[in-house]
Amino acid sequence: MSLQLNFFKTHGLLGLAIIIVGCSADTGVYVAVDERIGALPEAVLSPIDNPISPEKIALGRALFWDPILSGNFDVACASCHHPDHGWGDGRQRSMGVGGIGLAEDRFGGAVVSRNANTIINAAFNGIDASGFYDPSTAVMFWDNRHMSLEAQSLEPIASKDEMRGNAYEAEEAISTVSQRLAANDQYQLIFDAAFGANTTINGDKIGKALASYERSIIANNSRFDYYARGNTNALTDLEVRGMNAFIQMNCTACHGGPMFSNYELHDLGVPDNGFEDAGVDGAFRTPTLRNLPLTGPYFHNGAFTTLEEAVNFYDVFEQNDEAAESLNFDENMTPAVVAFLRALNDNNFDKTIPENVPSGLPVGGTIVN
Amino acid sequence: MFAMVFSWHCVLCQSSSFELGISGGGLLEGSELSTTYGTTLGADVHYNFKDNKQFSYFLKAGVFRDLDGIGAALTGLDLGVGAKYNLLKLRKQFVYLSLAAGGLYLNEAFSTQLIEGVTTSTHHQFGLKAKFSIGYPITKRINSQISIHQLHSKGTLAGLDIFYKF
Repeated sequence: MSLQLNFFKTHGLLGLAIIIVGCSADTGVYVAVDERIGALPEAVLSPIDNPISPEKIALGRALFWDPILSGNFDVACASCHHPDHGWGDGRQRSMGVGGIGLAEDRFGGAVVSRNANTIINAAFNGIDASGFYDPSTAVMFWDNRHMSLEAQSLEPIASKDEMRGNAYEAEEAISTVSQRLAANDQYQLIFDAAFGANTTINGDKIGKALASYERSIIANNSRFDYYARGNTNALTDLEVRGMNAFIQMNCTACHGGPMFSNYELHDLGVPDNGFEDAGVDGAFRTPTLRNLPLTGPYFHNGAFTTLEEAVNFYDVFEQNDEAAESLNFDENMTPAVVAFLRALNDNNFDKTIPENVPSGLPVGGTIVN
Repeated sequence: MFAMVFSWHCVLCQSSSFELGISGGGLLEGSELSTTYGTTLGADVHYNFKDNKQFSYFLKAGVFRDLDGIGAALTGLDLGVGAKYNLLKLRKQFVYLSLAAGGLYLNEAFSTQLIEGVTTSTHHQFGLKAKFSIGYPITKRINSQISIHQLHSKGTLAGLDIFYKF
């Protein structure tokens, strides 16, 4: 009798255990279609009027690294967008004309108003959660003031603090640089290779070549990308926990889509960091969250040095923005969220530096002390 | 199989006992698991050796499951040994302290809505578990205890257990 009773009780426990273990996994948080996160495409698109080609990439690479594009022959695009610093410069705010050295060690030059955006994956700017983007209208810069890499790439050449200096007026910058390039036989040859024989060198072609090169700087195989494409072992449990927290806290209201950005302007009240910058009525573009370990400091003025500081800012930020008001931030989630953000890093991108440039000037400008 | 186990129990260890228990608890904030889970429900079985003594030992096995993970489900299984010490007598029953330790298996099933669809992944981990309890028998057969569980380095669980002894 006692044995039967024990047997019954034991089966009761087994039944309870089976009920406990057998509860099915939660089906997850529903995320609005336009706020979902996912893998980047495996290939980039280019505008219809600027199909990508190896010749254009080669030309763009030469231009990107050549200080011939600057007023005083001292600054190249690579002075502030360097592969050793995640194709940014690692500074809070970039240093252009007159600067000597690279990144935090750069000194003596004009400090521009904002942090240098990385050009890694800039080719995907504007991509939405459906994977759609139009490279000819993709927004650029912290204030979305230009559309397309072609248009963006010309602006620093005309900017006084970034590249032009006092060598000529802004409206003369592109024509002056074009004349310099046309006077260089080697440049004429590689322009011809990219755009056809006896091509006229002008701003349109400079922009197209630089944009083509930027479209070759791609990092679309982070561990998160592998996870989203089906390799569910690609993320650790902590990283998956951080991904779920990222979604539950509604970070995806602004940081959705394959680039983790809605490319809209938001006013978060980021501290001024010693320099007042009103942006667009106080707002700045939502930055991508990809490759963050390589691209600090963070926000438009580099106000936060570490990822932890940048994430925890959302515990205290001024909720001036409708989308930001929907955030359910929980500081306890920070370690997991930071782990997840680190899993968006893909270090496998082009880091090569040319040995020389057609002008014969220092490669990358005066970045070596 | 059960008949063999219970026969062994009845014949060889007359002063020993089984306890079946149910436990509810909550993960304390500040740990990795607490970022995803809150409350848990579990079941335990103890085999007590000579539990009529002031100091006794037991074998334990347990299972617990979270009740409120969003997009995630946690299941834990543990197996270990423990010791129980009758601390003081209070209204004819002994207030006791109990400490158990052993191996822990954690299974987490995540479910996440991505652009590509709902992605599920399961993570398995092995570690150690320790449990400290203060208990008091409500009746001769029913024990209640307050417990703190350390789930490897992943989290700390505080809870209430009710055991039925036979």
